[in-house]
Amino acid sequence: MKFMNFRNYIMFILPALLIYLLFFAGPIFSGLYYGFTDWNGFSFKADWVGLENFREAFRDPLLLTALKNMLILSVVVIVLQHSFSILLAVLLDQKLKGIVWMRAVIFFPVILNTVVIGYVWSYMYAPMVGFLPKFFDAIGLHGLAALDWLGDPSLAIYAIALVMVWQYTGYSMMIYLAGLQSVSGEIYEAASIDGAGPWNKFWRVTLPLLIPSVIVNTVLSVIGCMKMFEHVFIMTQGGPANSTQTFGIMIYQYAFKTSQMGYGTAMAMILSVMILAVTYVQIKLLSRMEVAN
Amino acid sequence: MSRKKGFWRSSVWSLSLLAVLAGCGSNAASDSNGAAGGTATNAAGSDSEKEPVVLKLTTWNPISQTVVDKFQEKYPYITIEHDKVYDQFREIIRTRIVSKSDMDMLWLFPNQVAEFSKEDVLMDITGSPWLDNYLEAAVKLGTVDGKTYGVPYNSQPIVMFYNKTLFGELGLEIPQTWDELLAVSEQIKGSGTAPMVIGSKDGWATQFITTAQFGLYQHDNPDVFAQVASGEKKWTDPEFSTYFDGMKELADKGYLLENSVGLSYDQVAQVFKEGKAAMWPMGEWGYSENFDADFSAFELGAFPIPVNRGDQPLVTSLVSDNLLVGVSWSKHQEEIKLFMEFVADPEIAKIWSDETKQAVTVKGGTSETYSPLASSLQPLVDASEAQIFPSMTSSIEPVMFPIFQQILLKQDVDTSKLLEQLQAAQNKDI
Repeated sequence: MKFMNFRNYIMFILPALLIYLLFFAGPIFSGLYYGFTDWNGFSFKADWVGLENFREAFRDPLLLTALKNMLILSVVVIVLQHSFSILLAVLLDQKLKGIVWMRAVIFFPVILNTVVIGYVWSYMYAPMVGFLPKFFDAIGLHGLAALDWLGDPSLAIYAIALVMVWQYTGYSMMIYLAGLQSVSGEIYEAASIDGAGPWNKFWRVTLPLLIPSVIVNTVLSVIGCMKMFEHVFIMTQGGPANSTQTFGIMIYQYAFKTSQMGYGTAMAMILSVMILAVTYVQIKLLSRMEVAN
Repeated sequence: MSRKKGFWRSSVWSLSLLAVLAGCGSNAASDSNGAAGGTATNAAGSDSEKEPVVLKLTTWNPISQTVVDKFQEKYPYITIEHDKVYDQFREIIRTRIVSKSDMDMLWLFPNQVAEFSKEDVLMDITGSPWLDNYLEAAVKLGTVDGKTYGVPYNSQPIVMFYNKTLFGELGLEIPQTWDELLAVSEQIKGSGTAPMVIGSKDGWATQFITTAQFGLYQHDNPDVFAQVASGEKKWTDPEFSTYFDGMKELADKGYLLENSVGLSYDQVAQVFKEGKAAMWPMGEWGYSENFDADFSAFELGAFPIPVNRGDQPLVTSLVSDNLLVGVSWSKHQEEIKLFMEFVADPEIAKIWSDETKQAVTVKGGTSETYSPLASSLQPLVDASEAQIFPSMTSSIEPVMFPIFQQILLKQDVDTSKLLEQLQAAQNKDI
């Protein structure tokens, strides 16, 4: 009887398992193999090169730029996106008229296609002809109007980070909102009886109870920043002068532009290991915070 | 018992599903061996007896529907199905090649022809009589190791678009040499307008002031870029030592519109149309893609970019990068050759030229009226030496374009170091 049950379970998962093996596990393992070859992406032969692709990756001068940009994006997104989204979640957790509409408006950029967002913001930022330069000119901020947001190597990565913050604040807000709604009102009542004002309630009640949501949100954000591709590809293609290079762009360029699929795959493996390591450390650290609270 | 039957039936279904899914990616491969045999049968007999054939033509830019209609009229059993890939053409085609997907004819960039020819994925059209209808340099671009795989169909000069009205007001003549270009730029700068605009958000659009020199290198040595690709010559050789100097000079002298590095190709066109800069180096396609027939803000003109110094000749580089090729596993190779022969006819090419607003590489096939600029530009191109823009190997552009951006950003660069970077990239392809 037990065998029959087991067999039935297998039959239920078999179609999904086959699809998983074919389209996920298969490519992952073949990717592992190609990372150790010099495959050019279209040839029918690939020679084994051992660890050479990995050695070359660590000598690649763009690797440092990609790491630096990964860090900048992560810091800007964690600080700005999560500050705004927690603030908005607290504000929009009130019982006010039209609150559902306000939540929908803030969430709206999340459902837009990233490619569309990239193009729209490219036109917003475009020097001389874009919306932002014209807007800043109109209100007399000529210094800001003269900025070449995506053309200045020292600004471009921050300009991209701001677009990410704009797009994903609504997403983080929704997770925080769900977290807030699970907080019992009795805790706030107790805090009020103890004499806590709104500020103290926020710092000493709301924020500590939101730690599980913070863990989920920051882990997702950091993973998103580490594998950043779409925004950069549409807005700067890694330029100007490689100043906005990310791992995603480098992998794409090596694999598809310069016919170094083996090298690009090795780079993708390095990124995967980094994401696993950072995510593990992050979850451990944040979980400790949760326990401490 | 029935459960057991059910188990095996389910297993067979699952395996069948797996086989069907696996087959999706490789059905074309199994056709490859039968390709020649199939076409021979199709090609035999009169048109009315032939089985209907659908030829897929994959391109990144518009084709002439009139030419397609005329071809289908002549060969009623063949239908041309146009498959336009708007963006990321190289990458999409690469994946289709790897999966041997359903393709018959397509455009390829010259370096793709060189790469794919080594993998036996392209039809060999060496010795086809209609190749004589094309410019010799065009056929050479599609020839690798003595075998011809394709011919670039369109041909567009790299030009300097200019504000003719402003030139007239300032009493400026079209420059014929680099020094004259600098003198003209100085006068325009003095009038308060930026002499030139080059945006760099789209890496490819940064290149034309510099790559306009390719024609000069080819004038001195027709095989120079084949030698660079094979490693016989290096970017660090003395003949390339001034390769980046022209662009650097323009940037250093302040002849480029300030704060324009972040502009994309179409945004640069918009800025130029607004009169913020007097000149814009770009391929001739910059006109058909950005200017409406009723554009009237100023009178527009174009001239070959004069990068020649001293006694060097004025050379016009012709970008001719859409090589029409057939894929080796297509079942319709004879029909592909019929199409290639058909479009090589100068009269048919004229229709194509007119409809797509581009010059073509078929001798005598460019329409005199293909572009409103043609009547004033063509005599200037004819007065110069025309050279087909060479093919760079795949690792060059991703390194060369960021270098151009560095120069446009006026970063402190050592041009000899930049040439070393370029050679390091070249070494990967040798």
